[in-house]
Amino acid sequence: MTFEQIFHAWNLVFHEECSTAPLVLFRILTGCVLLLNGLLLLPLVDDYYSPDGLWPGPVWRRQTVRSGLCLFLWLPDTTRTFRLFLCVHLLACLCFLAGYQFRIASIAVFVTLVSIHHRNPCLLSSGDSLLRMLVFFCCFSDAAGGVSVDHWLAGKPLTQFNTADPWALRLMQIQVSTVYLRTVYWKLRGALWRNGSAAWYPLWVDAYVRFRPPQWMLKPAMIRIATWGTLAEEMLLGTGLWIRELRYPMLITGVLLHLMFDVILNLQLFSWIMVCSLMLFVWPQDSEWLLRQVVDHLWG
Amino acid sequence: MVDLFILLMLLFLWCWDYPLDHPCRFLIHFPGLPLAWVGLWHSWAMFAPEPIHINRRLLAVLTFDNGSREVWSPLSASPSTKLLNALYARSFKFEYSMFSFSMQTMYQPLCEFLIRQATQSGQHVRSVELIRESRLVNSWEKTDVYSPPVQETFYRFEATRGVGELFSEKKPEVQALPA
Repeated sequence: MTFEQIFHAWNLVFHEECSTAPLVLFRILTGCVLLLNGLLLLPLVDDYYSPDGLWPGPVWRRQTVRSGLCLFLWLPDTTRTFRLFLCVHLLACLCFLAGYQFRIASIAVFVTLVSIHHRNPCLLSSGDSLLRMLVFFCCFSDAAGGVSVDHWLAGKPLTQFNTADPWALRLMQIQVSTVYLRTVYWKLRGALWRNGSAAWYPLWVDAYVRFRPPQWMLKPAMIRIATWGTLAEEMLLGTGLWIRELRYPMLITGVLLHLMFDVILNLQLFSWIMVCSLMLFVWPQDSEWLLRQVVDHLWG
Repeated sequence: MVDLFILLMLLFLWCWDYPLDHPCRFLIHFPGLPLAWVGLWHSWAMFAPEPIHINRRLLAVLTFDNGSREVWSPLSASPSTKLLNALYARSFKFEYSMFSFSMQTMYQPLCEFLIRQATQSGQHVRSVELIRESRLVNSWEKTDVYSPPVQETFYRFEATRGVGELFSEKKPEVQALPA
């Protein structure tokens, strides 16, 4: 292999122009999740984000100053400030979803989301990390390159999609693969995952379980299948999504896996964020077809 | 410049979540700090290396001036429907954070929060005790799903003196609640 071949492959992967339709599909689905995520914070404001709450100003300021970006460091420490900030975040999410002033909206969503997360990190999960990272990459992408207000204001048909340099999309796809591969790496370090019993335990932890499976599914053989099956599926998702023939079978099984997680376990919006991120792997022509069908159905 | 940024991001995405003593993590540590500060820190150790296998409940016992006592439990303990559990899922996460050794700074704010709430309803609190209640989930080989519950008072806050006392010095055997 020569340097020229390496550069050629690099350019092919990161810089060969392609349709923005997968990003548009991702933007719409993630916009909905972001809005829901913001709305779910509303009942928690008084207890977890106010100066009189469980994580008051002086404590979080002491912990946050060096550890992360947080606009609240420069804002008055009041409950009203947080509520107003959350409203700004929700407004930015709405613009993100609609694709209105998309670049500004995505930066606003990212900065406000990070600030809210850093205001009380004790409430966060891995789904929040993934959401932050994907929104960050969205800031560099042309995810409003179709079915968006920006597109409409520019006088283009809604279902005509821009083509663009796909490096941000590729980084998002690599990010999703990395999540699966890295989680398998961590799981294989645990004895309970290796001996096949790991899936048994969360089913009995009140904080997690939503619907406990029927008794026949709790037999050791079934638990082993669930444990090792999860590992195998996550390993395959991390790699198989990059193989043309395997992409759609892996997407379908991946979505089913996350929906099953969501039925059985109470994981906030984690499963939905993962499902949105899997949509980045839908082929551009299929994303275009899907979005055209939806737009035609809604607006004739 | 874009290619350099892509290269940095690839390294960051791949290396940041390795254990701290791994060479890859060491490689990305300093270049990755600004990215982590911006909010790109992450961990994908979901239910890993071991899945959580302890049922935990945080309790606070408030003792009032008149000698009466009241037990408080976090928001997550009160919802009884699936919908409310879903709405307050983050509250569970907070409760579990309170079990982590690194979260000692949260003990006093929690006690002060409870005292403020009691004061608003016209009650005067003398002291607050924080209690961890744990029930180990047994392996499937045992007949009982859970081991007997264990309660441990780990912090006491004297409202009149404004002083807290840590009872349990040993590091609790807990993991942060994964995704």
